[in-house]
Amino acid sequence: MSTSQPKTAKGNAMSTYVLMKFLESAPQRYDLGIRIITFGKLEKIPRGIAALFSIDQEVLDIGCGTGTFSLLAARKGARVKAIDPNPQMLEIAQRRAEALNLHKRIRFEEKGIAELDKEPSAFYDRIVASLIFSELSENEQIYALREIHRLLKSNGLFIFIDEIRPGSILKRAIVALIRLPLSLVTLLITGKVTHPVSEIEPKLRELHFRTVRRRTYNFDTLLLLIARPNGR
Amino acid sequence: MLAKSEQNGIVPEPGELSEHFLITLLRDFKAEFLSFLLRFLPLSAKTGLYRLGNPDRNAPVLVTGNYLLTVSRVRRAWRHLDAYLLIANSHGINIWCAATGGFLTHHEIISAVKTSGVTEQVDHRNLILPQLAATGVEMHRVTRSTGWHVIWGPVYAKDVPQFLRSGQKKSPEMRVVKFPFSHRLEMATVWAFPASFIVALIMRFIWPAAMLPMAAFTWGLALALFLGFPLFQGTLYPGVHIPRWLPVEFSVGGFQLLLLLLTAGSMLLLWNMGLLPTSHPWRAVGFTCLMALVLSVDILGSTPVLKSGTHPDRHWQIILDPEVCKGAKTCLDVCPKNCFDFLTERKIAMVARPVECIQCGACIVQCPFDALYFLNDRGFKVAPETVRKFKLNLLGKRAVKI
Repeated sequence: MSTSQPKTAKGNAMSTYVLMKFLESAPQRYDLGIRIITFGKLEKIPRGIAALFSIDQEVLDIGCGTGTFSLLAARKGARVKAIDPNPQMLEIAQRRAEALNLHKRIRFEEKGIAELDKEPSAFYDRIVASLIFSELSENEQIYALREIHRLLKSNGLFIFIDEIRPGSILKRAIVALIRLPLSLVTLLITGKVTHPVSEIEPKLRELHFRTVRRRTYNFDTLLLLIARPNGR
Repeated sequence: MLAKSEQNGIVPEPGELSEHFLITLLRDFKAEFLSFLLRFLPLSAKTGLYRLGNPDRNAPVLVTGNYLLTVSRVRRAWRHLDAYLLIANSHGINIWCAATGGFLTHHEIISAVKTSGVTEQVDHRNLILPQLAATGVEMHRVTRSTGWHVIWGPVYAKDVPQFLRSGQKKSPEMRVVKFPFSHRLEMATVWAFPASFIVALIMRFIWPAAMLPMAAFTWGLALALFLGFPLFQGTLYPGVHIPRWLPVEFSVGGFQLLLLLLTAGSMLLLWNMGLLPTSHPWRAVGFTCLMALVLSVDILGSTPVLKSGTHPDRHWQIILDPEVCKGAKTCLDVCPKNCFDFLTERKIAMVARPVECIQCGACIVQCPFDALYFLNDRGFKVAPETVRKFKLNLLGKRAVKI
């Protein structure tokens, strides 16, 4: 009968099994997918901004994914809160932190950008959002920027890294050609397609941020932007 | 670019959806045409809160994802309602796939509630979600985080008006996924359209004379298989024991073998009758059989009512622990195949029709007492927490750590 007892001697609640096939679940291949689509540039950026983190800072990593920026900040002695709505990503990030003995400095929480209302205002020195905005809808992006503004100390910094559309028409045309096969590759490997974030700098201006540093990579398709909150 | 109200930090106003049928039809035409034929692409609509008709402060809040085809269809199905439409970010993926694949979870619903300003617009706190979102949205976590309650609406948008009229009660029919003629016709078209182009392209290089016939055959085969589905559906059920070492179940009952024989036989018969204008009958047999093989390799998974023969969890059983069950009846509410019955004297549920189970996991995800779990093909228990945490990827695999 369908309600019979489990027919296993090992019927404990935590039984699991390992998939040995090549194409396992997306989060484990996420880093590979990102490396492909950004031509490896995303690996170089952390080195460039490591100097922004220091001991005893309060850092918030929004959408930490596999934990790259959380680990970077923790290595410099900061206290990190890392959030991501994907429990598989968090698991990978947690294991990486443990492997580097940085797990005591990082608090992982399964949360999305809209679940930060309990976080105290003007608390964080640094807030990182790497490849997050490109997965948010327009409303979510506006909401996120407002929350980030609220959560940052007045001398804090917002570190934004994401896909954008190049300014010049020529670059856009070239990029459009290259994007299609790459998007397909990303879709197959990570299970998602990403969209460039549109008009991030005007949005930042309208929501009271001031850009202090910007740098683009890969034909102006990848943007690193550092901004400071203005007065409210 | 930011609405004035948004700039001042005021909660965004709900958008208006144009009511005029012609306007929506024209705007929808582009959406429908593109998303109908290119539906495998993640085409997105804008998220947020929209007015349907003239909703007041007690109007129902109907939640959907932002897959363009879904949005255009629900708008049409609900154009006579007075309600709010809350479009959540399902990342351009339809409800069922998004929820089961981890792209539509309680996090996306919480985000929709918080970023849309719906809390300011109505006095109640009830969200009506499509039933097929139950594989991914943990209803109790939505409530814990926002205070809003999740009500599982019907499977199909077209049933929502009746659902609302009958006091938000679902008939048993409204809970079940079906595969009617119109859907089968749609599936056949959506498969054959890109496939026929690819086939024609391949034939262009291998056997140009067969370009058009093979493209036509692609359409014919797809239509025959999908429209004729009720005729051979019975042979596809796992009544026969299939060896577990087979990586893929080509479908039980020898369906595929039969199809290949039929295809080869028809080609040879046509040639014999002089109706096949070619001097290479065996080439015709070869290519048509190859086509039949490709289309039918996952005939099971191409339907919404059967489990894919390529998914590793097709052998998993759904088990309900009668000691733990407290009669919440959530499983009955969310199962898309009507697998459960409720035992009124004992006040618990039971898995009455396990053969119908397509291992979607909705019952396991939603049970407030964790009374349900999978028993995998090695006899190991796959606990509710595991099912909630690990979603299916594009190949239907749920990766679980050791």
